[in-house]
Amino acid sequence: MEKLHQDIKQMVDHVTIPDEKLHSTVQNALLKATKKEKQTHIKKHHIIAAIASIFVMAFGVLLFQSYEEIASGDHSKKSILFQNGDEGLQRMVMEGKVQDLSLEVEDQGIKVLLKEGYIDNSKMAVSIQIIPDSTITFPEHTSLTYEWLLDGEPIGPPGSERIPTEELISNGYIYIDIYTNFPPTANLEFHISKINEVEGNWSFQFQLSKNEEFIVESNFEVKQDAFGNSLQIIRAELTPSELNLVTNVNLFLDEAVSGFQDYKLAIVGVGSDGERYIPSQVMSTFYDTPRVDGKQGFYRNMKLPRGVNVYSYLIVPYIITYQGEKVTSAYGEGYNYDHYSVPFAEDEIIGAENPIKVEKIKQESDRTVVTYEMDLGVPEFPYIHNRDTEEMTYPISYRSDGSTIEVSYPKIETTKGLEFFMYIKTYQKFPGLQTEINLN
Amino acid sequence: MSIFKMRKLPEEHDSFEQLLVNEQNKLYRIAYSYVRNEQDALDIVQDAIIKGYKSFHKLKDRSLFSTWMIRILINCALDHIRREKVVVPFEADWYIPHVNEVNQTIMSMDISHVFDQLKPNQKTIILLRFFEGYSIREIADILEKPEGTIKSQLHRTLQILKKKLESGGDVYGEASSRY
Repeated sequence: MEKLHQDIKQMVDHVTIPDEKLHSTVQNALLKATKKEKQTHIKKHHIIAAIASIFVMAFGVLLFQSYEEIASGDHSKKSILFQNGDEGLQRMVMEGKVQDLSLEVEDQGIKVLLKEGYIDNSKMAVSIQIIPDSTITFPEHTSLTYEWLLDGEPIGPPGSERIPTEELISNGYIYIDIYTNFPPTANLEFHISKINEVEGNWSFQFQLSKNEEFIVESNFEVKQDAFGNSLQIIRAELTPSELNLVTNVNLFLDEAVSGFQDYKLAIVGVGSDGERYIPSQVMSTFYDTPRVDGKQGFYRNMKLPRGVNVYSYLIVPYIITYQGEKVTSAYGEGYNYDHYSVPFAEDEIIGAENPIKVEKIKQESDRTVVTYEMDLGVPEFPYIHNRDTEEMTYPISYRSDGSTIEVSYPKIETTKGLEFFMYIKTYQKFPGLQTEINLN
Repeated sequence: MSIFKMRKLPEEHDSFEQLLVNEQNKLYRIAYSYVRNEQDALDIVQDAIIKGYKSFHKLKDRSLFSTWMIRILINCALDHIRREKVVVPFEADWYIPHVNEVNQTIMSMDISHVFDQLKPNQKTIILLRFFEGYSIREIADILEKPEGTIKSQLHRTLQILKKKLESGGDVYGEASSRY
């Protein structure tokens, strides 16, 4: 038996790992998983549900509105890539970089529509919608068996995917592939051979032009402070729709504090006009008990949708400690953090330990701008909460003018139920590690 | 020497991603052992990660992450094989003792070739027992089957391996019920 054990072990251990492909697969799977989580996760405003293990947190629906979206009115809102895509794809729709396909094929009483397509060096995205004949009943999840061909050659083996039927029929679905070696003009074929148990031939042939911009940088200085905390940007890749950062971060909690610790790395877009764009996704590793005896290390490959057209990014590591209690809600285990809330009005003071004074509230045509007097160490600002609708509005950008900071929110209609909302939290900042990268 | 491995116990608050970093190569290797095809193995790993992520909150004891992920991966591999109708070479005479004895001496096959020709559920048991080092009871838990069923399936699979490999019982010992 020992020999068999050794042989089996050797057989498995000798399987060559395709490091790069496996890494991509893992990242893609995590991306898909978090996207699914995001789509299905509905949360009450002050319960951050089931985040004990979530490393990339997405804050609410409104945060996904980019500046361009807010400024754009209703243009392109019907696009499936806009409706279901991340900020990066939304911007590509707004900037007209998504190609209209408008293809449809009907077979076996099922119509398949390919509506739009997009390619760059980080992804291919195609929107798909299915319209079955009224006599055909689909199960809750629709299974597609398909194959992609590029210039007549298969891109990988045939694949299959299970998609919530309602999503596929009503809202359309985005197929995303992280295959990146597309030529400038990709001659693509998409063959669906089976939809649920129905075999048929839904074949499409079309061309997509690649959005060529692709900036890769890897020579960044390692930042380290006197306490052993460090931030290393190993590699940055920028495509029109995505920023991909590979980082290695080590942070030490400097003192024992009770509460819930969140280790964060915010990637803030820096506009040429000084506007700083708050990321929709913040890398975050959460602990519900204090960790004072050691460091927290991250080695992360972060794919961030490029919602704004900027080439400079400020990378800010920090640790937040929240106060509150662990609770169980209908959405799973969560944390009910203590928070401050004050009326949505000028001259209000938010918080006690590091108070934020509301200097001015200005309504502009496309946004609401609040000027705060506050100490800016980390890109964290009050939210605006509507008590009547339970809707939370999150900041999208800010600019600093000495002691005051102008923070922009999506346009808010002033009603009685509005209040400023901020969790009670303390920060450990790492000013020596803060890094700005320029990818021009 | 024990075939049971020492495993580093994950910390209570490790995230799914942190725990996954230590497991992803193993998951790929196991997936590959089933399908012997890089792309299929990657697809299986992807499915397993998505399913694992979705259910991670249900895993109360993080020290069981490895076992738990392997269980998910195995189910994904078996689903994949069923769904994609992966052709697993099968020789009926393996299961009829004596029929193939004449040719047995010229069948000098290495373990990976023999392993390739096992049925998916037989591969599962061999991997769990001889790669992962799980006990019969642990395998029964992972596969959610009675211990007796696992014992008899393991016994039968070992008989097949023994017959198929030239060295047979001299090297691997008798296929007894004491595993």
